[in-house]
Amino acid sequence: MMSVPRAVITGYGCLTPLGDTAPETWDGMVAGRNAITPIPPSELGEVSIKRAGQVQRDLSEMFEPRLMRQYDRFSLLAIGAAREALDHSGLEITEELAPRASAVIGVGNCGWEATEEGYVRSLVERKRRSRIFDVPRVMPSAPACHVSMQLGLKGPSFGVTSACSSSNHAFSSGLQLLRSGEAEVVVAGGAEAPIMFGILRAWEALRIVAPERCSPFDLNRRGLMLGEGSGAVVLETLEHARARGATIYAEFAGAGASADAGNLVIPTPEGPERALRNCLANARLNPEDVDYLNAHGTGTKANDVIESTVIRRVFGEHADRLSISSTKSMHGHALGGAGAIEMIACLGALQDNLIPPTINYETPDPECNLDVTPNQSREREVGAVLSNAFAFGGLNCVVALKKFVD
Amino acid sequence: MSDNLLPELSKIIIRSLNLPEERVKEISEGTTLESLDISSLELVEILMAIEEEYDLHIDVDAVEARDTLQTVGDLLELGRKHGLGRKAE
Repeated sequence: MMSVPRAVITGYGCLTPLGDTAPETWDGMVAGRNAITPIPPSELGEVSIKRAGQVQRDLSEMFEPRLMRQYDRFSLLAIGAAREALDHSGLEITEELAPRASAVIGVGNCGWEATEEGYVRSLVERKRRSRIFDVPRVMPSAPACHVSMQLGLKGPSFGVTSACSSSNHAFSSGLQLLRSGEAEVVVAGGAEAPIMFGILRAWEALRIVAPERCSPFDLNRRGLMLGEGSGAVVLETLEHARARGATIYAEFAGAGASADAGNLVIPTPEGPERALRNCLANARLNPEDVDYLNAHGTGTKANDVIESTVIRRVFGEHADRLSISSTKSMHGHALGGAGAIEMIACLGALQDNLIPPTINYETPDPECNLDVTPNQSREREVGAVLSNAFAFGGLNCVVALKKFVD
Repeated sequence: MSDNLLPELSKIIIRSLNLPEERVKEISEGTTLESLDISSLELVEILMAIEEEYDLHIDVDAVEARDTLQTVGDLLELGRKHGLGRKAE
């Protein structure tokens, strides 16, 4: 019987509130920088959410103005991250490789910029017709389409969606494409551009957005901060990476997922616990092998307690030796793009043996009594890392990376 | 041509494609849509902009438009068939 291929990460990139590239973003994380900034006022109306993590790079530089009309902001973010990841990998997509190379991109929302512009055109400006690019801009698969077109990836490619777990589900899907033999290379990632009037209004209604800052696991936490951004990695089979002499940054050891089939917005411990256990089993890791866990850590009352409970249940005594952090405290919660940005944190931790911090941490919460790496990054040998994503609707996905050892 | 339709249409094309205004001068009836690098979706967008501007309805879909329209002159002709320019008469 043929053995299942091992998957490795040979390149990565991102566009985040912390930086325009993966190295800039990682430097920001290590420094514990708060990248939450004021949201410019909208012409469409008042919103009580005044701050969010926003990508600072001017995306209009990416294509000539004529072509820019084809892209929603979430697609531009995905393309930026994917281009950086491919450059970083040094991989050339040849004609021969193209049909075996895929694009899999997670998103939580559709192209909201185009959606909103369409309504403004029809309802505010009273134009009789919508724009010709509205349909291809809005579709949730648009980021995956554009990454495939931009990079010339002609293997099985698709969008993935599961709200805040979308990126991790995309990584997991990419891993499955490699393991099943359907692809040799997958550019996998996620993107989200939710800092738009309609989405802000919707989150305002949920009343779980913090007024000033996000303080995960802190006793006085007041909710999440929204963020936008993207991240992407080049996944390759070990065999393919070796054959071309690629630099291997990590092994993508495994992924595990589950559904709560419970409440729409209130998480339960059982679903996330199963996802974590499935991930460890899939990655053939024991709980004590894990050194760092990038928490879902939204900073809401409900999430952080449930997540702490789940970590205690799964890791037992090792929970006290496990380094945990929520980098959302710095870049905000990028929803469908969150896992992709947090992948950069995990790769950084593995490369540099450094744990990025949870910032804004002041008062311990007895219900979240874990080592959340408060306020300052910490040196520690890192051999294996996990990244949690638990979504509204109870769709959970956890991914595991480890240092590559031949 | 006895009317101002060509310069007007040229402006619509330029606006629809987000091209610099000065390129209006380059457009004549013989200019091919290919030389302007107009995609099939952009062509429909131009048709829609003509409809909007002149308040008329041009009965053609994206594939048909791509297959039948080669030049700016063809576009003018199609527009005229659907009532373009009658307002000015």
